[in-house]
Amino acid sequence: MTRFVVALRAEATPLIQHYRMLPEEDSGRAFPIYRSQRQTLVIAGVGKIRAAAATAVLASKLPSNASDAWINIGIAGHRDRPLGELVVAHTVTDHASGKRYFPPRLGAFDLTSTAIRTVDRPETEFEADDVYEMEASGFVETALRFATGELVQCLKIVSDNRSSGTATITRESIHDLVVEHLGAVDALSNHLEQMVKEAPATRLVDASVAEVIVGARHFTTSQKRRLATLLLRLQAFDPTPDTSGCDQKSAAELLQCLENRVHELALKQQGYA
Amino acid sequence: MRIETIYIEEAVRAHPRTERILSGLDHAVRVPIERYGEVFNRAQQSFRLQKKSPSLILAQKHENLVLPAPVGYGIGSSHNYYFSHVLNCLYDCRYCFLQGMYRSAHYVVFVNYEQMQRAMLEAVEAHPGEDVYFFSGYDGDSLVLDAITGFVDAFIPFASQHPRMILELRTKSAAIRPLLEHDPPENVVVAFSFTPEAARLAYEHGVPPNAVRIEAMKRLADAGYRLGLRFDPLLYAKDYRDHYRGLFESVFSEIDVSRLHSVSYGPFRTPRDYFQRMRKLYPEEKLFAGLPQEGSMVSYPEDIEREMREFCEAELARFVPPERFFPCRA
Repeated sequence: MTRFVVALRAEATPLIQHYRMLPEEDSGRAFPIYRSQRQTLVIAGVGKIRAAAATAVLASKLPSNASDAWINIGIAGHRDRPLGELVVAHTVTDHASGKRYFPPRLGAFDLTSTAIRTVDRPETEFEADDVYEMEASGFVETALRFATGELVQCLKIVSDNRSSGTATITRESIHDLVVEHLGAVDALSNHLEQMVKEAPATRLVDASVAEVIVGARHFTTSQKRRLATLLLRLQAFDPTPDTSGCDQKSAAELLQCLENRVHELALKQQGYA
Repeated sequence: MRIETIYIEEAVRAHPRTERILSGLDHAVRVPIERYGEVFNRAQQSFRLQKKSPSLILAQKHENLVLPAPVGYGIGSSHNYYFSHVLNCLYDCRYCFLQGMYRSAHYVVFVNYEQMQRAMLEAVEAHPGEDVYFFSGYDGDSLVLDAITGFVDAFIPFASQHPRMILELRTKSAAIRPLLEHDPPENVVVAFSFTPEAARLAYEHGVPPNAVRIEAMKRLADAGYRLGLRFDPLLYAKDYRDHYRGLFESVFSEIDVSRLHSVSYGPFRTPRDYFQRMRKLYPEEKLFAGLPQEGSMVSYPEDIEREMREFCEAELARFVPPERFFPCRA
């Protein structure tokens, strides 16, 4: 699943159409949410605070898991990069606080990567050799609460520079800029999803197995934790671990029995494979 | 291995070693940073994801340039230190504690070798008239990244000038060409770590086959280098006896024991908090399932560990004279 956070409707529309997303009925007017089977999108409005809030809203309205990719897409300015150039952030600097983030780049994205600077007002001077925009730092800081850094990325399309200011930007031109780069967005989204497939999925113990084992016994919190660990270890040797014979009365005795069972299995079954 | 991104501390941007490293990696994106920790130590990183495509971080080491070696790490000396010019490793060994110790899988190269060398000399001077051992390879393989780090060219000539300094380069690499370009100093030991070939295949992703590394050892021996053998960690399998017997025979049938400086083994040991992170990365890993967690260190159950130690000591005694054998007593 890829989650897009964009500031403007003109940035959102090409993505909504491309991925055939539909409006999420109860998302409200503050932060409209759209979704398809593999994508969700929220329209945040302009500015890092709105970006942060919208990111949090998207995560809470449509609960995410740690393997979702998060992409912030939007227009930006640079002193002399050509209009229409697409870049991915290797550094995101919040201009007001000086705080920096370094979205890790996994493998070779076929994209120019550069430093992005999040400012509170539209930039015209472009003092630093950074791409200037207004949402990325708020987006990154919040998205990192829901995903690992490798899966949080910012794409920016140059819409203005010293030769061509913001006055020439229109809804149509923004729409066209995003349309132009839908292929690259697709590629990044697919790349991240591919990486996600390799991500560690913390395997959970089947709750019903644990419940049956716990039964009417009293387990302290630390004993429950130890039980979960023991069941995981058992499952490494046997996906449906046989716990029969470990029906001791007390939790402590039962845990010791399972520990012995793991020990026996490891002795008998452990191989270099 | 292709490095796509290089983070560079501003303080070392103009360092000659940085310049040399960058000149060989023209294609990579360069990202200026203030301190390596702002990339390397961040929360919300996935070691497992990064391991697929690690970036390079060029940094300066400010303190703890040389540290006392952990108890049991030594090979006969009472003055043992370790130092790390690199954090993390090209290889991906499933049992490696680095994946539990660090949040990031990026390679950190500390380019200020000259300061490390000064710290080593100070440690040598602190023990007048005695040999002082320095171990490299604790936080990352000593040789595998040498094409980037230039570690061998910097430290072999340095060690040769200071005979009381015994320098051990621990490695799983077969990339020995940089070593062969130097006259082998008597006070340098190139120590190769081995597990049985089946364990290498199962757990040591990216590590060259044992036969290739044995061949590399022979070439180093022929060139005059002193060698070490480190059967560390000892890894359990139900048929471990057959595997270790085969390993010892394949090594000692090829390596001239007279060129061996030392042979040691070490049981599997990992701090519990590192182990918990390792298992979270690879919950399906059988290797971890057989390891109970009691106390602050995770190791095999006492009976298994004792049995493996006794077996390996007895087998190694067939090949290695006692004065060159140093079982890990940690």
